[in-house]
Amino acid sequence: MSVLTQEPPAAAPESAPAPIPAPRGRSLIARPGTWLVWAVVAFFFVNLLGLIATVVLDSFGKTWFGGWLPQGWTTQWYSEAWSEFSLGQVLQATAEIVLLVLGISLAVGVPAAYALARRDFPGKRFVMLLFVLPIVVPPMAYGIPMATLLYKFHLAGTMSGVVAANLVPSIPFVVFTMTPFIEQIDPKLEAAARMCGAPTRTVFTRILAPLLLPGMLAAGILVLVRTFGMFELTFLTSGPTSQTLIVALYYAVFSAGIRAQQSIDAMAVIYTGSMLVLLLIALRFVNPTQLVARSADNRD
Amino acid sequence: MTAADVRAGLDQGTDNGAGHERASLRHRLAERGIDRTLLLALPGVVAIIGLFFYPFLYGLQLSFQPKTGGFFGAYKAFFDDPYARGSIAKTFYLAIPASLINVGASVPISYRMRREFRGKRILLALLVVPITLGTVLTAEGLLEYLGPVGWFNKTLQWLHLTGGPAQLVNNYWGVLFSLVITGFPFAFLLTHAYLSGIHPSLEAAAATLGAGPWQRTRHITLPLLLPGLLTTFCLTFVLAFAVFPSAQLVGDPVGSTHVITIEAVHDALEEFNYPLGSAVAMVMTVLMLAVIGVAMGLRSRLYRGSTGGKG
Amino acid sequence: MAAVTDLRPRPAAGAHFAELRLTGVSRSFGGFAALRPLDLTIRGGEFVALLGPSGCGKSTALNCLAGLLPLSSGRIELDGRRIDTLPPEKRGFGMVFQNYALFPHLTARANVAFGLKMRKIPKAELERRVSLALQMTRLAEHAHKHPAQLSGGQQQRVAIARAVVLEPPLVLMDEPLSNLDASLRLEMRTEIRRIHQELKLTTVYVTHDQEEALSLADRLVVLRDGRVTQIGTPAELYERPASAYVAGFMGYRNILRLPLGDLSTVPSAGEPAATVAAIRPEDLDFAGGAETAPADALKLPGVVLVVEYHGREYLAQVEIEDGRRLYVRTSQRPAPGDRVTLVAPRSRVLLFPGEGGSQEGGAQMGSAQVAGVPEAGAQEVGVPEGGAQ
Repeated sequence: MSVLTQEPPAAAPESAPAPIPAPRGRSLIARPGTWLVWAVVAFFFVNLLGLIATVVLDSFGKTWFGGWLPQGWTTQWYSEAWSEFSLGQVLQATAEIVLLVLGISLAVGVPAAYALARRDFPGKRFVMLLFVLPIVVPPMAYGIPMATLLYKFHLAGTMSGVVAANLVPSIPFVVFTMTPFIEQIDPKLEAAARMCGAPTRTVFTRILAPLLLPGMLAAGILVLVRTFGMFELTFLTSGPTSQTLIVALYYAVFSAGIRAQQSIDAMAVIYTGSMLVLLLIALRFVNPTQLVARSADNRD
Repeated sequence: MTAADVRAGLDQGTDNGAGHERASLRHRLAERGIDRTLLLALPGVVAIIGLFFYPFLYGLQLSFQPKTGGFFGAYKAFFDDPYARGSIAKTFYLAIPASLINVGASVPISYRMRREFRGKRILLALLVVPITLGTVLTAEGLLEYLGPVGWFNKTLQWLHLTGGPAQLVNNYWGVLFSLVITGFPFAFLLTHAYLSGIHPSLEAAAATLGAGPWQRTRHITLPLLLPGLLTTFCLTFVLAFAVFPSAQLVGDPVGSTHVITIEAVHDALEEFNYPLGSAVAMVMTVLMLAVIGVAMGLRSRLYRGSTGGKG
Repeated sequence: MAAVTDLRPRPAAGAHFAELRLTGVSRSFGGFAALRPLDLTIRGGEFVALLGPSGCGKSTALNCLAGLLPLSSGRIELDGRRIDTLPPEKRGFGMVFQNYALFPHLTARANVAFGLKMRKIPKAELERRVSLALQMTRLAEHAHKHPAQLSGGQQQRVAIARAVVLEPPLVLMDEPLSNLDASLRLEMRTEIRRIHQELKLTTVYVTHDQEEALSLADRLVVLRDGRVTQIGTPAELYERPASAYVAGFMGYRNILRLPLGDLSTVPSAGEPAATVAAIRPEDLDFAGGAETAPADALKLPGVVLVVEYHGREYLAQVEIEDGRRLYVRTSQRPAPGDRVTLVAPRSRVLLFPGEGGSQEGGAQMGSAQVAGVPEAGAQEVGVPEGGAQ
């Protein structure tokens, strides 16, 4: 007979309609497996924190020749980075691109999601497949042909080209985020509105739009975060005046020989800071899994 | 309007016998779900076809139209050049281990994190950070962190695990690290989602039938998790196979980490040899599809239905 | 249907154990008491039903028995041997879950065979027992199917077969019929009864449906907010419910505060006063009906509000003079608006202490309910002391 086991105190209480509890293991006597798992997780986060911290500290350090910490602190690198890398212009271009992508993908994606959610038509599966592929195929694979095409149409290096390229993963993303959301809105609500005499436009603006807003907010934030961090597509299609911050950072690191490492790090910190702010905002509205969910759920 | 149309269409759908006209085409279409609402999807469909399929097909067609060498000239050029075709092996050599590590590590860790515990949400949110920060930042950070005078090496030497600084950047290892840091959280979140989808009552039932913890895992949890793991592997592999910025920044882009994307970008954007660049992109796509095909084929032989516990 | 051979290798009726004793079994978490100390002794071969609304602690008690939840206090002993310290896989009880919990990737046959496989029963014996179990639950033609291909009733039977094939000393059932539609539920109820009669496996059955509990159980345990309110045979609970709460469960649909008609609250020496009356709709009728009411019957004049046709009888809702409504089952044919007088024999009017229809009697029943005799909570059953005015 085994030792009396106790439920670990951190376990959440079962809710009132008693759900099926999963059988408990021996949690008092912590098995080596548990320690190993937590050790690996800790190791991961320590290293993650380490690499971020290295960048942050270096950007604030006067010089850093090899000790554990930089020798002296300064903020000069930030102003240097700002001018050296034309960060003002880069950030402006980034904002324009991201907002354009956001606006267009919502404008195009939400109606498409509505159609897919409300109608079951022959060829629906084909259309769903159409929207799945751009998310699943890696950007490099279609980005190169796309860059070729943009070159042919003299759009290479322009902002329109970059926006067009970034629409490719964003529109399907909006569609797949919004479709289940719309499906959850009872179609009878629309029918009820019509029974009360509302014309289509009113149904959309006064009934549907308010209900859709949370979903659109979530989808919009996700598109924002993804486009801001989307490297490959912008890299392949942008020119000097249409780079997003991430691409500018890449080029800075790539040609790092000439520039001071610290100013590159300052730029990286600016990028990281902006991204983390966006992430914090996003996480208030969506749960972490949605941020990275690809079409995994749709594939099964 | 459209809803009422559908209803009217349904009413008139049945043939009312001689003397009544057949329901108009509009109503018949509406019965099958085709009506004006579908127009809402048109811009999206057009956009995707124009922005995705058309370039892809254009690239495909272009890859068969090189300046020299005839129909297959571009492909021949790629495969004939040992340096170029070597990129395939180098990419696999990075992508497969990275995917296996990411998916493999995600299983025991998800297992351990099945139950709710304090701080679980924060942990999951923290895991999203590396994914959103992206490959460029990770590579940049790793360049310093894993560098000869970076903290990682310093710690290794301080713990007397190595004599001098280990060469962890500008080579294979830097890229592998980078792939794991950005890839593991993604694999973990997916695996965790699949694992959570297995209803706990199934394990409870197995326990009441006499199955100990290992037996429950082996007979119930793992078989139900495996299809999801294969999907996770595919998605992780696709990400790893398309590695680019880390191979450039923290790897050895002309040597051991000259991956297939670097080759394609070099051909298209540096040499302006668009047919060749497109050809390499096509080769990359085909290879990825092959791996996915194998994994999905394996998956189709497993039980892939609901694991919700009901029936 | 083919004659079913007894599954057990030895010929004998009777269960595997003599008694299963729960002493002071309770479970709380985070300050919330899901189950207060419960004392119960189950005899081998008995069919015990745990009855109550959701949240009353019945599923908690079952999960504690199964080992899926740890006890906060108390002991569970099987013929004197402590088992509450064992994990579920070592207790050897069979369990039927509310959602069936069938392994979706295994066929029905493999599901049923699972427990035997875990016990490493030799293959030939395993096959034999599985086939018998499938036969007994009439699943032989469906054995090769996966759970998703089976109907609700068939899934239910697989779950039962899987639990009983092990011939466990105890079978636990957690509201197994609640997910079935009405007609299937009745059918499966009979199945469960039949299987119990044939195999004589001790069963603990959780349900919120009193009809189910009454028809299946040898003894019932009525729970409320984690406490036991009464333990007894179906007849005992039906005839002599211990409190207004239990009465409500047993079909005493009219639960009204006193005074009612000529009944009023009467304090009795040393015990809480009766304040609530409970009457079954069947025990009420209209005056002037086929059977003449006894002279001292309780009389309540009123007006018929709603009439429901139930085939052989009618269910009428009648509003009495003080504005309250009673339900009456009668073979007479009332019409809405009729002025009537309801009569009920006083012996069928139960009086309880406590308020309204939703609370139980004063005394806490808990530990004293062992052998099935309801404690003195139902006072003055039927006869108001000195109350008739």
